[in-house]
Amino acid sequence: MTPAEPSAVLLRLCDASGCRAAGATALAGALAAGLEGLTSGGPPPRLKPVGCLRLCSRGPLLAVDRDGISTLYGGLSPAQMPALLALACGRGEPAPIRSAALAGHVVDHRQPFFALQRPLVLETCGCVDPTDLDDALAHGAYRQLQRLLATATPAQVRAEVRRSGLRGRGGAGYPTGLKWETVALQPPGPRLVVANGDEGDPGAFMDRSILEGDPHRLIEGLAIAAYAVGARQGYIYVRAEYPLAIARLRRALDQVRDRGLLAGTGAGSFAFTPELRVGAGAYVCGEETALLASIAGGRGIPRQRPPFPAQEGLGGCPTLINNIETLAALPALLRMGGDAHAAIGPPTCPGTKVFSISGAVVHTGLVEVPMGTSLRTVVLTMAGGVPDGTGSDGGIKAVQTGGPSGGCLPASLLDTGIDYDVLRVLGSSLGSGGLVVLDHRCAMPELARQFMAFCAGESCGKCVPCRAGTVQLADLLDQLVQGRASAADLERLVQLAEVVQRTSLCGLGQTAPNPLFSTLRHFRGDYLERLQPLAPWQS
Amino acid sequence: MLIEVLHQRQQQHGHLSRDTLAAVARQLQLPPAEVYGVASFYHLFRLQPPTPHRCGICFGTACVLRGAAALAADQEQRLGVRRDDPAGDGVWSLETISCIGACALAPVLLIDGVPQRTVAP
Repeated sequence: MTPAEPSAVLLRLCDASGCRAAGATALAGALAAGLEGLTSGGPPPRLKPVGCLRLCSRGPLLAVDRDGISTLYGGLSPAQMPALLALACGRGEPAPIRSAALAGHVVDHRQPFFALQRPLVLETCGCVDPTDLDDALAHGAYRQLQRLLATATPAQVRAEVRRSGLRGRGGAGYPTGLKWETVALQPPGPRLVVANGDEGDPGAFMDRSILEGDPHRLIEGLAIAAYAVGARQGYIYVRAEYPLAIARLRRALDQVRDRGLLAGTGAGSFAFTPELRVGAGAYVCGEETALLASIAGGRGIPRQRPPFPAQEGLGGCPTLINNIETLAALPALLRMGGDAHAAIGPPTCPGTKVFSISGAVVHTGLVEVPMGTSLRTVVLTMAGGVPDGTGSDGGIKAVQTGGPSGGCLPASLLDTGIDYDVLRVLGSSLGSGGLVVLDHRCAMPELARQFMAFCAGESCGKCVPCRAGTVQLADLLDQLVQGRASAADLERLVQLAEVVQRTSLCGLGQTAPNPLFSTLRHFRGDYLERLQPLAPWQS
Repeated sequence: MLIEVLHQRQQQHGHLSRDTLAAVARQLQLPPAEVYGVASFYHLFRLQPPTPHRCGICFGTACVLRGAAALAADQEQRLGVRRDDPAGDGVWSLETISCIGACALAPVLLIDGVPQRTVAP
């Protein structure tokens, strides 16, 4: 966190949806009213709305920057407003830390949850006012874009991203530089870029946090990608469930347009027009061909690949589709250089990753750590494990990763370093980075049924294995959960799941059985104990 | 364009009636079947008028683990309405919604679209 200039005190209030749900709006109103009523001399403290301050479970959060020291307070309500203002205005006293009225609200900034973070994507999220372009520019927004336009050719930018080893953060982990080359090397003609913000995996909220906290970083990343592949037009697709993210992004796009930042008058005369597209509630639109169908205004129905969107996308043009986090990683990556980025984390999967932690842990919220950090570090050391959990695994039964297309990793695998390849080998997937921690009260068949019912409800209906198969699988899991399934039913369940996995058209159906397979692999006992006992004549 | 126009119409009228959909089809010169197809495909387009107040319960993973189902059952009883019945009791309706990404505060309720943190019964 950047400290404020010594004279003025800065109150950074987390104004993201999480803290808003916890009451940040009422607190903001109280603080604004209190600041207005101040009569004492000197520069008044400034209230600044910022993006996610990470530790959502202690929301609403407020960071007080004074005398170069930043103190974080949590669990606030308008009742604490007078004490906060007294701290912020207190002159000649040491930096604001101790106050009886705020004793229970101080959040220790040195605890592992904050200390082990390595913010790159989120480096200015929580510092910058997401509604203020000038503040974003003061924090370095669009500087990398301008530098690259002035000094690098598109091929050089692509080479740098290839060297960085960055892999797509949407879940597939495809090398970003390679995708860019594919689009750039298509026959001459117009190209398009698309930012995929259809973050539908339950448990994932990193893209929402980026959009709500630092929208200009995403726009800069998208513009860099457009320059690198030769696109002049682009779309940012955001799911309609994120109204605040949409509002902030819309405002940021207006600001960029009004200021002419991407109008092509500056260095390199590169003109780029990004447009916002809002979804309407369909999980399948996270799949890239369904996403394109939705941007074109139709039903979000995927199509057979190849041709891949990189060859033939929107309107038949080569189209680059990158996840929000991938694009938001670019400004920091290009500032430090490809080689420095490649040195972070495992060589096969370098960089940092933003994880959203929820479920049965003490500290829930957003963390950014180097790839390859162990699950234990993230969910136990940083997030604190299960409340009142005991034992070396902190009461954790499993960690659910990757949402409905991912799986569950048992506590015995907590020492696994998180990256795309390792998790895939273990029968799960990293997905977009949602980590839901499960304690011992969680029954795996119930969880598998929940995900299967989700997929059945979200299947677009185009291909039979997914449309009919997920419904049958959800039914069988229902029977199993209710203790009405036999061992033969379990076998049928697995067979059918294999068919759905192998024969579905798109990722939704192909990965729908993943939670089932991974929980069967690691928690078979949970299933077996639900089976009907054999009748005497069967044994 | 179609999805944007449908969003606009729903914002104006609260829902997308048959007449509205027919008018959109005429305006954009699209087959009515295509307009209806798109409107009925996406969860967030309402084809029936909404109740004046709506209570949404997030059914994302974290919310389910922290008792969203019990919360829904409790609200059903309290409001005297059936879950996911858009008519509700004429004033309130109860809907289950997909993850809104406020997982860290699970379980989450939405009262008239505004997320609120709550506790499972």
